[in-house]
Amino acid sequence: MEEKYLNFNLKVKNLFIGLCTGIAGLPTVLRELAYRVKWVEFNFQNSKDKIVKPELIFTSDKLQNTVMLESKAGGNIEKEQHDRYCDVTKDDLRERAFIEPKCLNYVDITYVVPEYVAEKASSAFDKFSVGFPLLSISLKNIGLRKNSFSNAEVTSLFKAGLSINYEEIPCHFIPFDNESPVWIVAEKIVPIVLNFLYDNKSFFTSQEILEKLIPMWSNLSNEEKREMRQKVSKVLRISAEYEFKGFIRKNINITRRTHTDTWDIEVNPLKRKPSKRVRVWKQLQNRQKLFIERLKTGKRQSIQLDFFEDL
Amino acid sequence: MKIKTRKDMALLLNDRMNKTYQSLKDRQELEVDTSLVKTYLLEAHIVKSQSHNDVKRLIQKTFTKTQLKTSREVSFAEGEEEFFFIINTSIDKEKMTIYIDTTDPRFWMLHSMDSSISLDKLYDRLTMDFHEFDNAWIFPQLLEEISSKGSLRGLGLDYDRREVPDIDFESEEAPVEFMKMQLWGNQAGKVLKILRQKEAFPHSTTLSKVKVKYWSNDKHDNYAIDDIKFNGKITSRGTSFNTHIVLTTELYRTYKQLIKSLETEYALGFEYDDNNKNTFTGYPLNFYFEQPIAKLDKFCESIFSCSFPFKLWGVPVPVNKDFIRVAGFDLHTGAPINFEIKREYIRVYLPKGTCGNSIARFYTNLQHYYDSLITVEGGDGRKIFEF
Repeated sequence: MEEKYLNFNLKVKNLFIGLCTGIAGLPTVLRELAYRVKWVEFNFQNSKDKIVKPELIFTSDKLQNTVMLESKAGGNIEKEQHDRYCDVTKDDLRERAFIEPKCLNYVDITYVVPEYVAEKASSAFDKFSVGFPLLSISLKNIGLRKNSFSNAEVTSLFKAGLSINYEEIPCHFIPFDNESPVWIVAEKIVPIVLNFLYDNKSFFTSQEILEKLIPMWSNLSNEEKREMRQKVSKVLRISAEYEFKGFIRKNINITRRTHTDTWDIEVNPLKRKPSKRVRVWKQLQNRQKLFIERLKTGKRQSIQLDFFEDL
Repeated sequence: MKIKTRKDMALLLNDRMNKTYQSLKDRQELEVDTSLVKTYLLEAHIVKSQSHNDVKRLIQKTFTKTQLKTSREVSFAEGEEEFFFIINTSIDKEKMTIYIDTTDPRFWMLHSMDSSISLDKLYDRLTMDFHEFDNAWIFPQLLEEISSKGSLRGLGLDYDRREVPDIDFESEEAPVEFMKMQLWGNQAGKVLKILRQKEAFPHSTTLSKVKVKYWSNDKHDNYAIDDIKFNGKITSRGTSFNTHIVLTTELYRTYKQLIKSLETEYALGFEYDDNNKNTFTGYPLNFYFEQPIAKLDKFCESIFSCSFPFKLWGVPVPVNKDFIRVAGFDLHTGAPINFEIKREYIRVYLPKGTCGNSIARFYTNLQHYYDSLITVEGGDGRKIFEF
């Protein structure tokens, strides 16, 4: 995959959630057409009892339209997956995906690919006679590459293209996935650990972090959940060895009971005098900065290793 | 008179307020600070249920000699009615009695007639040292809105860019560094309009206080003249405590409504529906700058400094030279809050289940310490802090 399109599927989810929720810096036209995100990574069975799992489902009661969005980072369009989508009926969407009937007059299944593989996807569309709309995303634009939406207004707006800045796609709706690099995971999980301090917790599990961070956690498959847990545990383990040494520590005994990696919080700044707290917060901030830097570059900065132990 | 209920308290404060004001007026003397009623609006974060006992526990845990660094023991009494408490203590040897009305267990009112200096210290300690409490952040538009309910008799401006020093103050084009001003009298509103004109100082004219004369029920001998500050402190003089309470609760209701709407309509996340399936709800909050942020790195350094006034923790991660993202944390509410910062706007993600107060604090302080003309729009296109 081209370097600049790393983590494409995650970007697509965040991009379309941003488009539907009117975030600054993105066109607001989808929000104005009353599109709302209904599901992220929701799987349900089609009329032939086969599973479909679009990245997103968004609906507009104004346009009586439901869109299932399937993101393809490599542009590989599979016949079998296409057939599964073809077998999704309005009844499936109403009864099994809980889509409001008024949004089911028009249903679109849409593939989204990065621009550099759009040709490849387009050829596959021809080969399998796929009639779904194909969107391609470049660093500056989302455009309709092939076919059309059931609503002419939507077709024409994507035909004209929506301006975006790929680098500045929002990143906090869905903070990371199982393909994200570890330094992005590190960036997002430490604030959750701080949140545990305020709940007066003395230990937490990797799973608890994910439940708080990943909005569609319950929709993920067991395999995806396992991969994500492993990723979070890896980041916490690396941090506990150096930058956050003395702040958190893996508790092997409890892990046997919780059946998921469990971590002790060894220092809670809230238990210090208010005048001393700022120093600890700043130290944690600095450590976090160094930790992210190390995961990104592999370079380790020297630190006062016993800072937390000496508190 | 022993105070056991909020009604007793109201009668006492009304009586004292009325008598003092009348006698001072007769003698043409200025009122002394201890003749004025002070009401402090305090937002409490109680994590579990919000029963009388939860509130009581929080008060008992907080209002102690050690915690508040007071000079004598703190005496705590429960009123005869639920959610009403009385505290007797002293700060810097100044004795004080505080009546705490927690009938809304989240949005408290602290009333007292004791010295402002000591009460302010106590209020600052509560809001600075305890993450369970925060000020009610009365942003300028709300101050203006509440002043329109009565007659505006004065105002204060408070702007200090030095808190977020992302510019060279020595350069010739440097904007206003700080501006503090007090204007008393009926013409104060006109001066404010002039200062806000394009050719004057629209970016540094931030309202911090209003003095409002308010009458209730058209009884013109019953009135309160309230000084309402942006940090949630209200000082009242006049003839009627009840009138003061009407104005105060009017203000507080508007504030609470806004905070709750941020939490219910804008906080982002998944919500379980009737089928026990979770669907995505909420909108991001978009902060727009009329004048782009001068230096992103310096700006972020001040905002995420882990200390007053923003109280935000976070590591700014540059995505490119014009775009920074921050997985942040509100040290006050103890909740994650995320940001994406460009020179022209900031995207703020308030996660579901967290406190809308973070947004009111961020907005109010940006107006006081960065730019008076910042606007906030919800992703749904609604202007958040406008009336």
